[in-house]
Amino acid sequence: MSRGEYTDILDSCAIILVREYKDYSILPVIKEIIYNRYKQGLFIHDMVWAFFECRDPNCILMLAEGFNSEDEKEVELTKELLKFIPVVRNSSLSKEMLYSNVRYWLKENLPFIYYTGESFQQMPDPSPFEVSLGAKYLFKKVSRDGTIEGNLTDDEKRQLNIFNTLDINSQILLSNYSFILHNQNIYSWNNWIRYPITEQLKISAAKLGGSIC
Amino acid sequence: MLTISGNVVDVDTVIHDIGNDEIKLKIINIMNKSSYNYRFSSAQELYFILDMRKNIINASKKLFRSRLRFKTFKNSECNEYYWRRTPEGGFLLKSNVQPSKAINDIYNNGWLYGTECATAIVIVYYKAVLDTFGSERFNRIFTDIYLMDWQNLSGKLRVSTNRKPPDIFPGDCRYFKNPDVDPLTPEWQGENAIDLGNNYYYGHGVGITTAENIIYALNNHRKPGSNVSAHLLESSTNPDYRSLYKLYNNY
Repeated sequence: MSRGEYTDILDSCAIILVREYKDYSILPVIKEIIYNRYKQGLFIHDMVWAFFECRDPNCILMLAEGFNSEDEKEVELTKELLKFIPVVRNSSLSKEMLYSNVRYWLKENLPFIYYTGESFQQMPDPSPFEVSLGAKYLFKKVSRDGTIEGNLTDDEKRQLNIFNTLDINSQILLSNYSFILHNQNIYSWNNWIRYPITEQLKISAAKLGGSIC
Repeated sequence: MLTISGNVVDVDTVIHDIGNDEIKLKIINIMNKSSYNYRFSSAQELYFILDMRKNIINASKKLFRSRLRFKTFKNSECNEYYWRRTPEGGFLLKSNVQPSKAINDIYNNGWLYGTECATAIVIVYYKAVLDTFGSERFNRIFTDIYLMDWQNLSGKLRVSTNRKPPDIFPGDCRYFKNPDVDPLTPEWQGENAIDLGNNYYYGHGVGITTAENIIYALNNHRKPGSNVSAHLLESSTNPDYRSLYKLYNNY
């Protein structure tokens, strides 16, 4: 068997185990193969695709451990694979800070993160996982495909429809403030979420200074 | 809506300047009728972008005729006179050759090359830039070219994807996604295809054809028993035309 054929079989096994058999115990092995191939300058896209096809945002933490490596190539690849996360993108932070920031970002956003299926074949900057800003705004969990779990009330649907017409910066502002307020004081949050969105925006900007995630 | 230097454009003036070019007229009309405000710093910037889009479409048609073969990265091939094939299957421009000749070689001797669909789109972009800039400018500016799908693009050729563009234009690269692709053929997980502006698309591996035929081809590579169809996504991918215009002007 040639090396190419061996590689093809490995890649096929990986995607079949993860996608078809939902065997996620294999993810650490896939991760190791990705990093080893990268250090040898070999093709990794199919294996990366297989890895993310577990559709579980917790796999992000497995990759983030690459920031703890002493090997610069591993740190470099970790940055490349996780650059869809705002705290990693264009960051000049130390690798230790990057690891902490990714952990914090994941902890804060985990209920709202969903799998997009984007891959290296599809676009220059794929984002395999995204935060559903609408879900974060309403403080509702999302399923792996991005749909908000549970039934929304008519008021929630109305608020979400208006939220979705806002520009991205306003959406980020509202969803961040909603998250912070909900965790600080649920009674205040229950009052705030009932205000008209224009009022919500004023309050959020005043409290957060218009800061963006 | 179209604005140039903050002023709403009289579309008739633009149409007069671009003549009877069907593709350019179509683009202008889409911009004019859109509720989105398409802003340009000058008329020259607008005409540059129209030229680029037209050249992307022409480059797509020429690449289809070049006999460039479809190969996965693991089996990719190139003309080693101009390019070095890397272990991951990409093509790295050699330092002792002219970039314009290397790009044109793919078009003139396509049968010597084999790669997959995303890399083919990047080749189309470089050819479009070459035809817009001319060889002299191109050779001075684009000295490091690595053809390996969307990754490792030269800092000078920036490409980005708009996941929810306000409009779709001729020259846009679209993506047909095959969610239930057969895991044994990952190269068929999707198809990058240039919108040719006449309800046809160019996709390397499927040729020049309709959206329906691309979907049909992808559906033939699904896992057994699947009835989840491939479909066209909303997104569009393009080179950063404004940064290219600045490069063009600053030369």
